[in-house]
Amino acid sequence: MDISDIECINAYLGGDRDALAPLVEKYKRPLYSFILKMTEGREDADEIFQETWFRALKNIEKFKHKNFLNWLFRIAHNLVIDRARRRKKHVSLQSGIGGDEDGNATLEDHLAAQGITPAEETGGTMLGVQIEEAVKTLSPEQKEVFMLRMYGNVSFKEIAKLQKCSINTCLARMQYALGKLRSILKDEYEELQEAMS
Amino acid sequence: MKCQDAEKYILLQDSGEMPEKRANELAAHLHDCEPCQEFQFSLIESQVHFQTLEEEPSATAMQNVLREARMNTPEGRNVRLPHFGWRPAIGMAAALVIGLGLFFGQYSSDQVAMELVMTETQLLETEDQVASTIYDGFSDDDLAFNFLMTYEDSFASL
Repeated sequence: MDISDIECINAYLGGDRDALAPLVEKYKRPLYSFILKMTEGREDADEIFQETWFRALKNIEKFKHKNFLNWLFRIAHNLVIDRARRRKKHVSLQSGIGGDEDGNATLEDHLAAQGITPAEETGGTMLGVQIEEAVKTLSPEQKEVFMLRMYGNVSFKEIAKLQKCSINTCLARMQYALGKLRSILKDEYEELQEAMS
Repeated sequence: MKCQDAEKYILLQDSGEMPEKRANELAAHLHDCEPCQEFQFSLIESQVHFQTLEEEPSATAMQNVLREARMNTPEGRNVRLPHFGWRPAIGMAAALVIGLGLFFGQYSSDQVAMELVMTETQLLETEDQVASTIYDGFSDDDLAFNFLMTYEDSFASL
């Protein structure tokens, strides 16, 4: 674990009220970005982000992991799963994907993150928007492996523990996710590759 | 090395988990295999793009987290003190102080002297007890002077 992480945690345990503020600041972007991709929009992501920290604060004396960010990801992963399970009960199975005549929430509504993406907000690159779209087509497990690698640089060993599967399964999920991105973004990647060579 | 395996090793290399003995084998494969080069390129390119797409929580969420952190500070209960050495020592010191206090409280010389004085006084007649209380602490000279002053008139008439 990062030395400064240990120092911050020990200072907090020693009674320094503001000692965790640098850690909250340091990890807000990777943690929130991961949660946002795994949930249904900013409101949900904000709630889970807060809840992740609340749980971390409650159990900080028990923290024995090597990597604090990995620990936060683990808590967030559990919260995302809990929420998805609760939501699943509310989604009408009869409505199916693609529509409900009564205007109720459909399965499709609950899968993809709503709202304006950062690429759209900044009027950003077409590639950024396409990546966002491509990610939405991945299964939750594939998406999670991909996001943990992209945002948290979490090792495959850690991801395997988190997803309770083998490292090979995690690698296969990542391969599939990258393969899918490549197939969707083939033209853009080729252009970039040519420009770089 | 097959492309399927090479892709796995590219991913493991990226996460820093690849066995060292496979490094040369992968490098040789990548040198000749265009699809695997593309796979590696797409991995690197995705990382670049996702880092630029990182987002921040709302200001309210951040404030709530920081407020909760301040409110739930462990208040120094986990400060790493050598508990095992101090606790018994403090207990023993407290027991010793109490023991010494009881000992000196019960057998102190002041208290013994007080008991003897009280006993001697109680042995006297009631009137003598009053005189003893009044003149207690007077020296012999004081008592002689007091006697002379009391009976001065009687001596004068003689």
